[in-house]
Amino acid sequence: MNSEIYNFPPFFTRQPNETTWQAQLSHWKDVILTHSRETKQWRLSNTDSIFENKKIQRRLKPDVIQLVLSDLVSNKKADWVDSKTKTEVWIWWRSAEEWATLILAWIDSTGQNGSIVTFYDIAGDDSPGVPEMVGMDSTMLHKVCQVLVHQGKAAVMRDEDGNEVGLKV
Amino acid sequence: MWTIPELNNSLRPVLFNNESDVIVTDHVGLYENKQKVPNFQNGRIYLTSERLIYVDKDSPKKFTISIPLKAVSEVEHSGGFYLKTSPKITCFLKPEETSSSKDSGHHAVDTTWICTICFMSNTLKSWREGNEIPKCSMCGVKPSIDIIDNAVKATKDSSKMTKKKATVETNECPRCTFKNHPSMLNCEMCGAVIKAIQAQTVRCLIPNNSPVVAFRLSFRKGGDKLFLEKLTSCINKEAVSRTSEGSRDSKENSRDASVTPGLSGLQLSGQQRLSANDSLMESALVDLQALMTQGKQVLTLAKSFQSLIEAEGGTSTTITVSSSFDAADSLSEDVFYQELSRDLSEFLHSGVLDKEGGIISLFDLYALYNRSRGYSLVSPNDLYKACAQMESLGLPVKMRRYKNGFLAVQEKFKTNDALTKQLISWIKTVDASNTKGVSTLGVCSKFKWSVGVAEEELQYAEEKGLLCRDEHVTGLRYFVNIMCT
Repeated sequence: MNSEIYNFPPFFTRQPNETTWQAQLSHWKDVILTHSRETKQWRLSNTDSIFENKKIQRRLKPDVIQLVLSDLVSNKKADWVDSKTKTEVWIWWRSAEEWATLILAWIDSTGQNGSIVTFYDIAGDDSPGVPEMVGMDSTMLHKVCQVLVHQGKAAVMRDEDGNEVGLKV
Repeated sequence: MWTIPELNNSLRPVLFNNESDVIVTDHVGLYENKQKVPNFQNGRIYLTSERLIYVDKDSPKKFTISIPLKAVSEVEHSGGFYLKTSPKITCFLKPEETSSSKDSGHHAVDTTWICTICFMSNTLKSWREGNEIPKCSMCGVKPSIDIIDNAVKATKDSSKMTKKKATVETNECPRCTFKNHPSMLNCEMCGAVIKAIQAQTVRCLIPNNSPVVAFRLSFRKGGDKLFLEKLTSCINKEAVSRTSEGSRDSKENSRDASVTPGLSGLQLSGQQRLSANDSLMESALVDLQALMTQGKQVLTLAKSFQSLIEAEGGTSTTITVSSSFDAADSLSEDVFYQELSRDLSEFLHSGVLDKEGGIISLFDLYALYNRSRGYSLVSPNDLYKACAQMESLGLPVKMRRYKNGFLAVQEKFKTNDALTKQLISWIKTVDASNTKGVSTLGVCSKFKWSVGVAEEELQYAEEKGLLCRDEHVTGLRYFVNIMCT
């Protein structure tokens, strides 16, 4: 995380100058994405501790947090968990496309082309295929799968109850 | 006869001590005898209590000329044909005086003689041979005629000596008496202006012209009637004051004779002063019009009291009399705003602008300027209009409008960005680590700006993306912007 920016008091005030504000938003985006990647954070609520810097005693105002989250969503770096209340987001510190390529790369490298892999194989606790994806929520996994389906590289497998459980590559 | 007057940096003539503005008219051309004077065809003409001054509109530094009212003997007005020639005022000049030999033996002499009885040093004014011998003012004994004669001779000799001296060493400083080289304009010791250097004189404006007997003022855009009225009254006043000077002298002499030195003399002079003050106050307060006309005298009186109050340890508000520009009502609208603008520029350069850190808000300027005027105040609207003209008049100050309509007056050579640069570099030195920022008040005290100006300057820098803000419970602080890189 860029600590110089994070410890800069004006970073926690919405800048009235439009150019500065845009720069400030992009810095917030970087800070959030870096932080999530480092801590493997998948969800970010608007009351998250990242919006408060206890060291310099500054916190971002709720309305500004909302603007920052909206900016993340519009830049495709996050999705609303609930697009009605808009209080929480899924963070894409890697984009869905990047995740899809990672899965394909793992399948290629292990020679499982044509076979069926379950989500547990990919991101389960027990020797996962793509270790970085451990803990990823099913909603996000679904989106990654949709990318693969759209690319025509895989089909989604369902169990008896209709839940998505795996991929056929 | 013509002299080149001094101009100040707002391109107005510098007035003498007892001189005051009477009227200013613009779009005036100058004629000598009956010929147009080249380059002197479009300018302002200032009528003061002692001079007529022409200041050219386009190149005032080059083409400025003045003539004392003393030199004018008669004034004539010609109406001019409608649309063909402008109305003109012709001023006939007195034939130039040849320096007469004033130093004749029978001339009245002022001298002092010392009483042989009590050694009192008596003054003797305008003594002529054959006058009655005066008594000693201390012991009342008449001296012998020899004593007076000796004293007169001694003063004549000494005055001759000083005259000779004066021709050799003209450049003595009036303040510190240091004898400067004749070519020096300012005293080398104390920097005072040496009076001996007088304004340049010019015999005639058109080269190779016949002797000047008259000059004309051509009023291209009117204003001649009012000007003529003021001019004739000024010339008359001038003449009256000159003739009365002589009579006043004789009056003073007679009073001197009646006043005896010593305690009773002091008491008497004190009483005279009191009654003079009394009559001045009475006549001044008869009505407001009278106060306006006698404003200057009243102010000087107030000043004398002020020094008294200060001597007794009290405090008093300082009364600063602004320049003599108070002929507001007699000016046409355009000229009024121009003159007001120039006057403001002079006012600002008399130390006000330095005190305010080179930039002053219009509110502050309004308050300070009117306070210094004391009477016949300027309306906010007039002030605004005058300030708006500053730039077009080529004055060393200009009005600046900030984004949200805030108005201020600042020095012309300072661009907005130069000020911002100065501000940023200061913040960088104060807050090198960029963790504390600066407050508006901090900026105020550093640059001596008023709060309004400081806020506007900070916001201007913020708008440019050079600064950013930190709003916190402890207040608003500004930081150098490190986010836009």
